[in-house]
This record gives sequence, structure tokens and C-alpha cells, in this order.
Amino acid sequence: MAVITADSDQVGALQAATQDRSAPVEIIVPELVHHVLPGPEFVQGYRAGVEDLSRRLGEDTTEEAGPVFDDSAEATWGLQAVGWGPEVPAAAGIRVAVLDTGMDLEHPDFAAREITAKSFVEGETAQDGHGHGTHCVGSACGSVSEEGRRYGVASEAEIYAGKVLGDEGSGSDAGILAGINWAVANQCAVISMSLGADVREQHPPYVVAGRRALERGSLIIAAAGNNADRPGDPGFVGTPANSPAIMAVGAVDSALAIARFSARSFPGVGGQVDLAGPGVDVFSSWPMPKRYLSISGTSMATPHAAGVAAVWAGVTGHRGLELWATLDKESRRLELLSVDVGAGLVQVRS
Amino acid sequence: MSPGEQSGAPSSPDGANANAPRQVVVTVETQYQSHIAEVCDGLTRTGVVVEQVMTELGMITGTAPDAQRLAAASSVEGVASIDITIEHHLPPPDAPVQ
Repeated sequence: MAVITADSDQVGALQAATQDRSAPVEIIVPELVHHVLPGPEFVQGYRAGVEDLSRRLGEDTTEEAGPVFDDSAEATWGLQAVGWGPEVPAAAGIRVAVLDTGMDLEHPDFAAREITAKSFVEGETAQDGHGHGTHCVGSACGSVSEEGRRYGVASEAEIYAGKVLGDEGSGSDAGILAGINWAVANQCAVISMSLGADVREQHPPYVVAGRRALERGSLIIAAAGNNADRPGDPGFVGTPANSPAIMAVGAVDSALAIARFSARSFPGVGGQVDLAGPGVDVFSSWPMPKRYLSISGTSMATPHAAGVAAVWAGVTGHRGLELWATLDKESRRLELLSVDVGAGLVQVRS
Repeated sequence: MSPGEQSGAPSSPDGANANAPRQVVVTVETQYQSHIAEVCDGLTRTGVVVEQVMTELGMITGTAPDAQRLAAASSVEGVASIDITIEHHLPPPDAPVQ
């Protein structure tokens, strides 16, 4: 870069010269003069105070937001909300692990997909006997429904379905950590975990596992938890999502309001919600013969974020902490509290 | 591996019965990750039954027969920490919020 002094008529001629692609100068711009930012205006502060007070008194002065998104014939509201469109790359070649109740390996929507499935639950195969895992795999890596409605983000990703929760929906750390280890060993760029315990204290094994996975290029994305009952009780981010090196995902509804059940950040490293995803009335795959089901939870928001992460991993080549930063940077800021939605709603394109 | 097989209350790390076997996660110190087999040998000598060795994460899961041998295992060379496993539960499939 160089700073030069030029007459005003010379500036135009210089700028025109840079239009020539062979010119060695990329851009010429006039120098700007920057000023110290003015302090907060009194009137602005007064108005914000009045609005806040009336909100607290239950007299919301802002307009009530109606549904912003709706399931359409082409795509679920969640896919629309994360910015999906037919031109968005589908994460081909990226491995995504979903550690959950396994997956319905006979589901017709996944017949043509590359799937690696493994059970870490003694006495059970990777076949999903609950439904939760099949639903989560659907949002992260599914494609279109029988009727042609798109419901999965990373529709060309390689699926690693790890069964770490049994058909009854329960599992211990032993299976979950074994599943993480398996996903890391298989170089999964993204590990989606819609599971947790309502335990506020950080659980040391996940603190270390999250860090070591991240160092090896696997980003763990976990559900913030459903222990809130808003507006009275905002809940808290449970383990393992409260581990500093694991991303925590909260849930918003189709009006982009925080979901009633979505857990809030609490003070301290790791206890924060990092991102939000679509998590209310989410349409996705379910074990046959039902085939599809719409359910709610931060469990549903999490695989949306994982699918989005897989797309960015494919587009940018970023892994680990760099992929984490990309998700943060690209997310859509919401007019909600950051303690509820972190950096905002995950977005699949800039 | 035997996730979830322990009876009693695994959610309570300070469970009442000190003589009950506990499923544990052993975190290996970073500099011992490449010698994880030796850490396993050390744990076995203290009476811990090693069930899974996770080399990528530098972790070992197993069962400590009682509180006394759990305490002994934590002083094995290369062990960063030992934690009692916790259980994770999903709501039933027909619950509206998952």
C-alpha cells in the first residue's frame, strides 16, 4: 500500500487506469478521515430505557413478530432459516458423525447414501430402536422427503452413525466417549451430539475430549439442553455442551424467537450458548414405517448446526477451531439475548 | 464395555456404597498418550478392570471394584484424572420436546 497526494482530477484518471486487469495496482481510494465515535446520545438511552421498562411491565412496544418461516413444498422452515438454497454445496466428501440412538439403516431416503454405522451400546446393533438418532441424522445429512421437501442440510456428506444411546434413550459416558474416539479416528470434521445430562458442573472427560478432538480437526457440536421453562425459568447449559471446547446450540422457532425450553448460558467458561438453530416443529426422518415426524428440542437445532458446519468445512477446508470461528462469523445476528443464542442463527452461506 | 450396567445411582458420584463397583473414565496426561498401554498396565495392577482404550482421546474406561482401589488408581503414573461416569437420558420417542 502507498499513500500519495493527487489533485482531484488526477484521482479519476488513476482509478480508471486500475480498471485495466494487467495494471499492477488493485485499487485506488480517497483517504478517509476518521473521528472518535460520539458517546451514547442521551435521548437514545432514554428511549431504550422506556422500551425496556415497558417490556418488563408486559407492555411490549415493539411489534409482535409473526411466523417468519413456514414448511413449504420445497424445504422445511429450518432449511430456509439457515439460508439453504439449491445452489448451496452439499458437503460432498465431508464426514459427519451423529452420535445418538443409531439410525434406521433401512430408511428409503438414505438408500443411496454412504453410511458407516457402529454401535457402542452392548447388546444392541446400530439400528435405531428409538427414533431420535434417525431424526438427527436427517436434519444434518438428509436430503428430500418422498414428496420432494428438502429437510437435511449436508445431503452429500458421508454419514457416520454412532449408536451411543440405547433403544430406551439412555447411555453412559463410556459409550459416548468411545463414539467420539471413533469419529475422530475416522477424521469426521463434525461430530453432532444431541444428548446431555442436566448437570451444571463441567464433566472433566468432556472438557479434555472436546479439546483433543478439536486439535485433531473434529468439531463437536452439542445440544445446549431443554431444561428451561420460559419465561420464568431460563435453565442452564448442561454437560457435555458446557465444556469449553464443545459448541453449545440453542433452539429458536419459526418466528426466530427463543424456544420455551432452550437452555440459557450461565457465567463461567464453557457455560455459554454458542449458536442457535431451528428447533421447534422440525420435520425430519423417522424410523419406518412412520418415515417422518415433526418434533422439537435443542436436539433438533444441533444437527442443523452440524450440517451447516459440514458445508463450511467443504467450502473453506477449515477444520477444528478455524471451523468454529467460521460458524460464528457467518451466523445471522438475531435481536435476542446473546446468552440465549450466542452469535446467532447458523447460516449456510454468506 | 458395559455402559449403564451398574446398579444403584450412577448420577451420584459420592454414592452411598463405597464397596460398589464404579464405572470410571480415566484421562491420560498428554505426554503419556503415546504410552497409554503402560498406563493401562498400571491401572490393572491396582485392580481396575480396563474395558476400552481410546487412543485418539487418550482416555480409558473401566470398572473400579471399590472406592479404595479407585483412590489407588488415581496415583498411577500418567493418570491426569479419574471420573465416575454419568448417565444421559433422552425423553421417550413420543415426547414433543426431545
